[in-house]
Formats: sequence, C-alpha cells, structure tokens
Amino acid sequence: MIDEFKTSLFKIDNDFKIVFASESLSIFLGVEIDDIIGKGCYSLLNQYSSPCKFCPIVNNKFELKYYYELVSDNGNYGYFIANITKSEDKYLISMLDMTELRAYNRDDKHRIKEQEATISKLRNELSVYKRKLSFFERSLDNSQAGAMFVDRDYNVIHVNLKLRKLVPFDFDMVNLKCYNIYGYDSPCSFCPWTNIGKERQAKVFDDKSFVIEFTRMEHYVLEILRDVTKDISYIKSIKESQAQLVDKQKQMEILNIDLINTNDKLKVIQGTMDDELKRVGYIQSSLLPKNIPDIDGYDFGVVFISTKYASGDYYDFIDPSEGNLGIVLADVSGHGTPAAVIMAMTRAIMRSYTLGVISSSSVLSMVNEVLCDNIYTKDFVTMFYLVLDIEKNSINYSSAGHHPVLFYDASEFMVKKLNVSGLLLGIFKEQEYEEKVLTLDTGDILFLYTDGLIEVINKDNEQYGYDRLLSKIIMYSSLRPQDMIDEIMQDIKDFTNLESYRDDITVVALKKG
Amino acid sequence: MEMNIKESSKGFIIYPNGDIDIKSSPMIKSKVLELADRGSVVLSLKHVHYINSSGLREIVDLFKILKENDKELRLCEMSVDMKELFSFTGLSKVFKIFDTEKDALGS
Repeated sequence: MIDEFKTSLFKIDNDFKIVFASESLSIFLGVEIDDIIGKGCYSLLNQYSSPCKFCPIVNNKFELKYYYELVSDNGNYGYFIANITKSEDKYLISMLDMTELRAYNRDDKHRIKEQEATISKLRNELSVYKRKLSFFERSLDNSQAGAMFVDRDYNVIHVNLKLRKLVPFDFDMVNLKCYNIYGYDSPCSFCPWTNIGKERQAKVFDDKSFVIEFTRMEHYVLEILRDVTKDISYIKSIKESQAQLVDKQKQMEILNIDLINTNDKLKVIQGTMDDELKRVGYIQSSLLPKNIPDIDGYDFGVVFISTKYASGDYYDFIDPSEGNLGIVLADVSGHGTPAAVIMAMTRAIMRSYTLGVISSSSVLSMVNEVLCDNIYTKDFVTMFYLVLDIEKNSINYSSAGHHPVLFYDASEFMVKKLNVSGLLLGIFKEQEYEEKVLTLDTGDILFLYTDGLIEVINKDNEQYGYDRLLSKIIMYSSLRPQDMIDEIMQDIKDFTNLESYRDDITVVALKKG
Repeated sequence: MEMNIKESSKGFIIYPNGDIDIKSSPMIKSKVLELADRGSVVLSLKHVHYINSSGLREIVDLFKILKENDKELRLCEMSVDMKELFSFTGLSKVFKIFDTEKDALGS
C-alpha cells in the first residue's frame, strides 16, 4: 500500500547506513534492495562520501518537512517531500513522490500566467481604446457643431455637449431614439440608413435653422448638426440689401433719365441764354462808336475784345460841345448780362450828362450820383474821362478808380502816368473827382486801356504786365495809333499763345499829329 | 485760400495768403464778417501780391456791409503796387489804411 502511494521509505542507523529500503525506492534508484542495505544514504542518494552538509539529522532539524530532489544513476527524476522520524537509535525517512503532482501544478501555474498575461494585454488594449474613446468624445464635445452617433437600431450612442446645448431635449431619457430628437415617433423620412447617399438635410426646430450632415459607417451614423440661424439671417439681410440695391438702382436709372432730360432741357436753356447773351452782345456792340473820330491833327486807334458775348468794358467818343471831344473808357466790375446792362446804362447817362459840360470831373460826379441810385448789385464802374479841346490842343481829365492813362511824351521819349484820384463809380454818393489839364504836342500819345490788357496771363501764369506795355508803347510810338495797338495785340497773342482771354480788353489811343 | 488769424487784446488780425480774386475773396469776406461781431478786425495784406477787379468788388462790398453796421475794416502792410491800386481807385480815402499791424491795432 505504501508503494501505491509512491512513497519510498528507508531506515538508517546512527552511522547513516541504510538498514531498510522499500521496493519503490529500489525501483526509483534501479538498484536491488540487497545492494541498498548497508550503504550510506549520502552515498546512495547523493553520491557523497560523507553525510550531506544539508542533512537535517546532522543539523538536528529532522522534524521538519524537507523538499528533496533526486536524480538516480539510471536517469530517474523525483521530487519528494521527505519526513524524518526518529525511533530509538534509528531514523525512518519517508519520501512522498510529488513529481507528477508538481508537474501538474507547474502546468496550471503556467496556464494561469498565460491567462493573466492575456487579461493584462486586454486591459491595456481596453485602456488604449478608452483613452481613444475619451479623446474622440472630448473632441466631439469641443466641436462647435452638435454631434451624435446612432446605431442601426436608431439608438443614440453618444451625444456631444454642443448638441445638448443646441437642442432643448431630454437626452437622458430611457430608450432614446434618434428620430425622437427630430420630433418624430418613427424613423425620419430622410433617415440616412434608408436613404443611401443622403448626406445633408435642412431642419427647423425651436425657431432655429439647422443643417444636418450624415456620415454613414458600417454600424453607425455620425450626425453633425450646425446652427445656421445666423447665416440664414445674414443671407436674408444680404438678399434684402440686394433687393434694396436693385430698387435704388432702378431709382437711380429713373433719376438718370430725369437728369439726362434735365440736361437736355438745360442745354436748350443754355442755348437760349447764349442766344440772348449774343443778342445783348450785338446790342452792346451797336452801342459802341461806329466810327472813330475824324479830326484834323489827331489820329485814333481802338481795340475791343470781349471774353463773352456781353462785356463790361465800354468806350465812347462824345461831342459835348463845339470844338470839344469827350473820350470815355470804362470797365464795369463783373461780366455777362448784368455788366452789359450797367454798361448800357452808364453809356446812356454819359451821353445825357456830358452835353454842354466841359469839365471831366463834373461829369464823373454827376454820373456817380446817378449810378449810385441805379446799381443794385455789388458792381461798380471804373472810368477815365477826358475832354479834348481841339483848338487849344489840351485835355482836362479825371478818373473814377480807373488805371492811370499812359501819356507818351514825344519830347522826352518817355511814358508818364496820368495820375488823378477819384472813387469808383456807383459806391458812395457825393464824391468829388480830381481834374488835371495837359497840353498835347506833336507826336504825343494818350493810351487809355482797361486792366484786362496788362492782366492777361500765359500758360505759366505770368502776367503780361505794365512794364512790358510801357516798352511796347515806346517801341511803336512812331506808328499810327491803330498800328501801334495792332502790334501790341500781336505781342500779347505771342505772349499768351492763347486764342481767348479771361477778361475783356479795350484800348483807345490818340496821337497828336 | 490759406488764411492765418491772430487774436490780440485789441482785436483780430487776418492774414490772407495769396491773390485776392473771385475764388478767395468770399472766404475772406465771411471770415471778416464773422470776426467783426466779436471785435475790431485788421486785414493784413502782407502776403497778398495781387487783387483783381473781382477781388476788389468783394472787398468794397465787405466795406459797405460793415459800414451799414457801423463797423470798420482796417487794412495794413500793403505793397507799393497795392497802395497805388487803392490810391487810383479812391479807396485809400474810404478805407483806414496803416503801414504796420501795430499802427492798425493801436488807433
């Protein structure tokens, strides 16, 4: 029975000599029992020549269980639990063979370890998946769009934070189906599971406009909801602005047509005005002397250039009395019809008030009184008036704010200014005008001009100027007055290189023969 | 038109810079009329080279408006040409004209 339990027994004496051995030990060692008896256990079991150093008997620990591995000469391996009991002067050693049991045990441990490794690996993988899932969930939560995952049975697997904010809905309700969120009790008509290729759907709920985008996967659908209320409102306002713009454009077109019509009318009016101005110009021209005086001993020259059809300049030859010739040169401030009207008025006044009056200053005082009563604009008149005594070859002259007349003194070959002071006509009443007298000798020239002559400018904005005029008068002093004027006008034309001038130009010259 | 304005305890001095013509004269006129309500005004012609007949027309009109309201406009720092213009137009007897700013403000 002992052998069935695979227990080997042997008994040793005080000298470690084997006095008894069981059959099982004999079989394990492959040594006959007779050959075992009398041998030292250290020699038989461990091939030592003296008792083993770890021997429990030597170390007096024989009461303990002792694990023991043995390899026999014929190659048998055994793992035993040894138990030593002392009986009188003998020691009984029983060795329970644990070899197979240990092998089983080792296999189980190995399997457990393998399973543990698998579990650990699975745990790691699970942890990685959880981390990934958490990352995806967080990403979804950070998304500016609402998002949810739905399985094939319409169950909502995951809802991100944004969707919870966007849609006022109890997402935590039991058995939540995706179509519940969209307000239906059964799958939606636009469901991507049944509408293959459906990628987008517009939906309005809770006064908000959404665009839903579907991404179909094998088992799930990702539904992204974007709140496009603002975009739609922008689009609406853009459309409204566009409509307004179109309206305004139409109004502009109408206005434009009006403008074109008005412009056409204005052109007609402008044409009429131009015609009227031309007529005023003709009338005004008819008011200028038809002929220059024909007086023995005197030669005359004139030029009259108007910038517009009607001018503010004016000159006249008057016969105040027998033997006298009145010469007037005037310039009304301003241009066009108002200036022409004042000019015509001044001419009429001059013609009326000079009759029988020889004194130039008296004439200017009287004319000033009348003009002050009759000019209602800001305008005024500058005038130079001289009366030539044909017999005496002398002039008396006065000026109402006019540029000094130039006098070429033939005896001295020089030009002098005839300075006389007097206020512009038509500003203040009760004015007195200075009057001077000058005797004319042969070759003397009187050069009356309006400021337009010296104020002409060229393209470089330079004025023709007073000094240039003086030099030309001296240069052409030997010519007849009309030729002298023509030369000067040619010089002005060369200077300006222009066809027209910005101010009227009037010159009257007389030369004592 | 560029126009500097100096204010002193005795009144305002306006310095137009450039020619006085049909474009610049309305600006000068409105500035003078605006300041004339607040004190005496001196128009310094230090930086004015030229006054044409349109400019003169507005200056004369300005003078007339001020006179109707018992106000006056003083002129100063005129060039020789400008003095001649004011002389032969008779305006030197109408306007109060001074050689210097100091004289114009002092009287």
